[in-house]
Amino acid sequence: MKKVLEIKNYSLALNVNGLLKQAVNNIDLYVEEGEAVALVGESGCGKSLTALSIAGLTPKKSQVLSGEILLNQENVLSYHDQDWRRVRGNEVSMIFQEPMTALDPLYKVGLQIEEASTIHGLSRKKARVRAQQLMEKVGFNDIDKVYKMYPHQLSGGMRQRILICIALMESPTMLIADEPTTALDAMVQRQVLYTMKDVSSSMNTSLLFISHDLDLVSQVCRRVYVMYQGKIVESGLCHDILVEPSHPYTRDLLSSMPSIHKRGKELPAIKGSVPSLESRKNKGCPFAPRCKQAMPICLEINPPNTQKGTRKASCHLLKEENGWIPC
Amino acid sequence: MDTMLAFNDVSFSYKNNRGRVKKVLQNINLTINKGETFALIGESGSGKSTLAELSSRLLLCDSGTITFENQNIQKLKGASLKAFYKNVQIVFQDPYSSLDEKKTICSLIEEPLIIHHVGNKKERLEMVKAMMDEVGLSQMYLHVLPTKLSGGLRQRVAIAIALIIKPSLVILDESVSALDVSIQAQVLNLLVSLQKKLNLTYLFITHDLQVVGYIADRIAVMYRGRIVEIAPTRELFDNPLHYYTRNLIAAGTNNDQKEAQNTFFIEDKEGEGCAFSTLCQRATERCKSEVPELVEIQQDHFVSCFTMLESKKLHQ
Repeated sequence: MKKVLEIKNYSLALNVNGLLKQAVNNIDLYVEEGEAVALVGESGCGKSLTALSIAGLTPKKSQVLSGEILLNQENVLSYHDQDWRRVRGNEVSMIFQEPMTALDPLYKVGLQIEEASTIHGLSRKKARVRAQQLMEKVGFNDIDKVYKMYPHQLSGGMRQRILICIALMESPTMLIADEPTTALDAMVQRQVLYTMKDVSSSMNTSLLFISHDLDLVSQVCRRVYVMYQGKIVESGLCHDILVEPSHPYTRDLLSSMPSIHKRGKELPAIKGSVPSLESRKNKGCPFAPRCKQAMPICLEINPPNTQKGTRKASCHLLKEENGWIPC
Repeated sequence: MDTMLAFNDVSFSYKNNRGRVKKVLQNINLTINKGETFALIGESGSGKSTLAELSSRLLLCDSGTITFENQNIQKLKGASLKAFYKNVQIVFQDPYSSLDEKKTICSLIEEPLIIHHVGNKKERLEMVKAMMDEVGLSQMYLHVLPTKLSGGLRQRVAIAIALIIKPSLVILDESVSALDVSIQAQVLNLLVSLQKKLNLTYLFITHDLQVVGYIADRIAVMYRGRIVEIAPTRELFDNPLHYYTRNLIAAGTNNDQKEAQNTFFIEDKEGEGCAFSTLCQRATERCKSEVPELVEIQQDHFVSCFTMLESKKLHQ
């Protein structure tokens, strides 16, 4: 399969009070054509920064330290503003978390969908036809009416669908969704998720789905990357990881989720919280201070990347005799 | 069991300045018992938060009565109203906007004590320190501004503020929804242990079924301003009766994909009939013209649905 997106050994640092602090640490990630891939982790783990890097939207105070991001075999890190104008929408599109703030309250939603294409030179008439086709695809039944509505007249789920339309107007090869359903409630969340999955697969668009909910992403994604403090600590097929997580972080993340089956028992929460960028140490495994199984070596040496079949993980507990080969 | 809070046929509507009326809650009947965790679930806009605001008398209802420990809270005045406010506390959803960022943690937690004239300065400081221990906040945060704290710690501060004046009913309005999974687990554990220790009653509002399944004793399901079903947690998950609840549980627990679909395009239709009748596959003519009442169909299991009632009658 052709790789639409490939991130190789990418590191990004942010300037915090004059000091460069590494927020994304040597990550490797790829997405194949038409594939849905998830990037999972707590807030503050660098998920969003990774996503913004792919769309060329990193903050001004950031600095790329190493690596490359290949989008359709072209390194996007060398792009200038003009290149980005061509690429955004056409090759890579993004859906953001807050459907409330991502739309302009002063324009009708139809116009905002059209704009994604007219800005790339399509006539308004053609753009309108295209917009209405897409609106039908994402499940609106009264298109003419919704077309003339303002964002505040729509519910959260409907607004998120409008954003999906905007992102897909130019049939991008890569769609990045940054926590697109976090602000929605359970039932709507699921509908939006499936809409996004169905529409993007019918257009052969690859999907990079960013979320903190492992359970949720496993419903639509084939592969998952688990990120902690800017590092990818585990990756593999969703199904495998849900059934048998190999990194302690993934395991703790899964077991700390509440459910009816855990009633009356204390939830096995991960102690502490993700340290802020300023207080991070560069020594040892990033998860070691919160890990229940941490050993002295974990605080000293960063665990190597190991591989077992389709899975990759980096943890000192994963030994070669159990089939984990260094890579 | 003793009743702590009871809603008796309560309705509430918002009016905008053009005189348009939007009915938010209609004919709400429910009771919350002492010491239990009572959860309200439902989609956004179904009236959950309005119900919380009515319970804490931040709003006054249009009709019906709300009683707290056998007092009608609508009629409270002066000292008894202040005593009521002391007994009922709310923890809000967003720990970033609910704390004053210009006050230190100490003065934030102390403020309710000052308002209710509890103790002198020295005693209050001791109480604040004890409360911080209770909710798992280190004393090094005593004179720190909330901007320095993470989301989980801020929510602990919000809980400490609510609990410092020893309320009996705590309303948790989406209090864990904005937190990361690992932090959410910490806060849920804290809430459970505090409830046991301080003998608290919780009114827990959320849209997250997993959280509800974990923490609640009884659940009320709301849809468009009405309560459609009330049941103990296990019973509701194993045997949901209202078709809306079935949809909701199917969506949340990922068992049945088909039932969870087709629930999106809802024309906002005011007026007659069961609110869910436009989406319900089993809706009859009666559902579209009459509103079903909430009926106890089994012990402790209330549902408002004509189809369910009739099938029950047939069984008998």
